[in-house]
Amino acid sequence: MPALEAISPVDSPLEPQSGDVSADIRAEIADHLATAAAALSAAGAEGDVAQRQAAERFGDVRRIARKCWWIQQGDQVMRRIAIVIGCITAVALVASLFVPALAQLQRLGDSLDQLSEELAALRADQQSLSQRKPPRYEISGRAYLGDPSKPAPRVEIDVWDLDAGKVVRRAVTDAHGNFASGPLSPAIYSVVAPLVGTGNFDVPVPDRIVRETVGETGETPMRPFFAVQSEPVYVGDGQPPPEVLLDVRMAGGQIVFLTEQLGKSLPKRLDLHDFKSAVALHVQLSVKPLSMNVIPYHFQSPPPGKWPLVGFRAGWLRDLVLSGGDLADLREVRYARFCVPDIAPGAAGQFDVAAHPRSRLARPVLPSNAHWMTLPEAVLPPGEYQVGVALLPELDESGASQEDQSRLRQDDLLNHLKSAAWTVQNGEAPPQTQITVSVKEGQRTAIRIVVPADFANLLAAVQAELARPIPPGPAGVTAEQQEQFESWVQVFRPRPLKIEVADAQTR
Amino acid sequence: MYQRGLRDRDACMRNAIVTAKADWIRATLEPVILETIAGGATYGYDIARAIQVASDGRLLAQEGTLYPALHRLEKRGYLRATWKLSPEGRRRKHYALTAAGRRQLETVREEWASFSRAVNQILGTVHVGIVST
Repeated sequence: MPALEAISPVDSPLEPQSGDVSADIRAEIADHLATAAAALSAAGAEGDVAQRQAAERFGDVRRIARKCWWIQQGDQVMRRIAIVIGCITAVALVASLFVPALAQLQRLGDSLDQLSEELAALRADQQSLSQRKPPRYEISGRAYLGDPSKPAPRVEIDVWDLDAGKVVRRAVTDAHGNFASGPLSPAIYSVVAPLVGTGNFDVPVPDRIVRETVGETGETPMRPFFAVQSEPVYVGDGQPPPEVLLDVRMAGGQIVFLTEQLGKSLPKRLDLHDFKSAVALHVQLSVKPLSMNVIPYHFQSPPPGKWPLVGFRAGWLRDLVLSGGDLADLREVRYARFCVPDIAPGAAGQFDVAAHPRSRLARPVLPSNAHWMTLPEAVLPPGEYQVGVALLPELDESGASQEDQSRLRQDDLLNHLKSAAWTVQNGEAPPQTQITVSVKEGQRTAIRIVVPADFANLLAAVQAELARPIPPGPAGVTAEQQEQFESWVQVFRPRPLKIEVADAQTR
Repeated sequence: MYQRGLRDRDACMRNAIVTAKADWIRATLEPVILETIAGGATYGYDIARAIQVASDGRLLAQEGTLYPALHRLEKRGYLRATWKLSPEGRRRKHYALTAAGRRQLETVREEWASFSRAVNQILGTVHVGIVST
């Protein structure tokens, strides 16, 4: 606001135009008052009276001067106010946009600081731990196929912690068969090449299991271990498969090497006993710990009692054996299948064996009976065992009816599981055990099982069993069909395969 | 009661006339100023005196009310102001019509003639008696 205190009737600045709005207004009003007072004085009024009358006739000097100032400056004032308001609005808008971001940046900075502190603390802890921890060790070695000059590339090597009873490291050999376990803590380990999978059944060979006492003495006592390879050969729908490959698979399912085709050895036409589905044979070498608390039954029929039931197909029941307590320790427990009427797909609940006629319960057809451990899966602790060889059929139920299964009379055909006692002692050197099961095509006689003396009874039992004539099929089976079936049973040919884990070293 | 009512009515009427008179003065002051400056008056006191003389003192009872009107006209561009020294040596602000002021004065003259003629036609026939009371 203009300062009007200086305005008086006689106040008239003499300086020329100043450009100051307030001063100009004061000068204009002062000139008016002075001129009016002079006119009144000229008309006869006294000096003071003239000035007072001039002021009275003029009116409120302050109010008029203020009004004039607003007329001259009001638009500029309003423009400035508008600019200030705009600036304040802009600042507020910018602040509203950037303040949260700044706050987030601040929080992020705080978090980074906190993380840095925690990282420093972790590093300090790690350093102190590394100073306290004992050195770690590693087991390395080389796997080869029978001949040390033939490395076994890309096969799986398992390192077992014997105390914990589990695989603690799993390595895959390189192109030269070399493997390394990776860091290990001091303990006792077993190194095995499981060779899960395949090959002809000519193999059961004494593979070596290397027990490493890491971090202690470095001794490497040897313990017996059997590697078994078996491969089901499926013959489907009366036609020989165009190609059946026997292979060894490595970790991850890739094939290490291929054997020959079997299809050319199979009959041209298979409609055995009007059985349309695929059939496979397995030879399995298994061990059964005598002291192990397993369910003592042979799956001629389901054991009595009530079992968890999962119907996976009409008329079939599975998973009975999975609730067998210690059986859960097995690395591979395949499900048992029982041919049971009135089991619907997807059925679940309890299966009461007593409620079903035993005659209707077919024998399970497993590659390995669940209470027998297949040797590739087992690391045998010291104890008493039974060793068995089995020729087991398996039906691919994809095309088989319940009647087909019943007519096949599997109990009569193949029940060749025989066993012998075998003692495994701690630190025992690997026995020169070699079991060779050879079945020549078209013949039944060329069966050789070469085992040490302890297995002589096993050999005799297996030979006697395999020499037994194949029982006739169900009524209505022609002699030609029977002959075809017999020839089909004898399609397997031996093929040697040996894999050893050797040269294990501790470092 | 009736006489009191008539007195109240007359008082209200007089107040209304006084208020209307002030509004008329405010509404007509700017055209009067333009007309006065066009007549030769150039600075504040000179303009005020010319208006008072021309209106027999009925307009511009307070001389100071002249100045806001002068400043508004200057702000609108109807007047151009220049500072000179008075014979007594004081700074004196002189006003002169601009071209826009002259056009505005012509316009106001025409509008006022039309407006006053219309108002006179109405007031002269219907409300003469009331105005004269």
